[in-house]
Amino acid sequence: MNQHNHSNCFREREKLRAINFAIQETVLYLDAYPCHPEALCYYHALIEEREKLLAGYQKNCGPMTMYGNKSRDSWDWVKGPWPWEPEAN
Amino acid sequence: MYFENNRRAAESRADADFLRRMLGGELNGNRCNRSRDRAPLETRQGVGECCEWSPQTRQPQARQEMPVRPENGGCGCQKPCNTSCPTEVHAPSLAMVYSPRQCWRQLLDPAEGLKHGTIFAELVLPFEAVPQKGGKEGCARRPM
Repeated sequence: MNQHNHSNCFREREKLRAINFAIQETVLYLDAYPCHPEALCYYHALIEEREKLLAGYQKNCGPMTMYGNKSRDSWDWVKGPWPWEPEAN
Repeated sequence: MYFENNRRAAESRADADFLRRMLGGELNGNRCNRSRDRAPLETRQGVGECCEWSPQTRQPQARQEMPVRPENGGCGCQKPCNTSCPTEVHAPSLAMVYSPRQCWRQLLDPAEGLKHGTIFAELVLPFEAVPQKGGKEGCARRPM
């Protein structure tokens, strides 16, 4: 988990969770109204924000998912909390 | 005559039960489509039944006149459902739902949205049990 402590990582995860939810809501809206430019713009803004947050999280806290093991020298996925552990939620 | 009346009453109950479950969202059309994974649609004088195919439990049995339920030794259907349309004049009509267009406005920030379960502020409509007149408890909107 590098220099980041648990509470920082927890906060980062919370932000990502909120962004994911906002994306899901926006996607549902766009499914119903695909020609809505403001919704589409908001979607892209959220995606951009999510990518930044995810990159920061994975750099400081470790992989968010099994697809996020950035290191070629160590298997970091097992170092963080498992998805069912309280620390991951 | 007694048997005939009894059968009609049972069919009527089955129709009412079907409507209630369908309106409650428990059933949908796809579950009752014919497919090779499901038992063939069987119809009997106004009452149809479609079943989830269950090779372990489905056994050929004598055709029965009464609507049967699995627990009563029926054909082994896991999800019996009545596919007949009610034809009686007094049958209740299906509900029709209208939903206004959702406008893209009053967006909550993502954290607030996650807290409320929607990113649209105008859809934050909490309902909760509150005391009503006469001391009874009911469900009502909480004032924002």
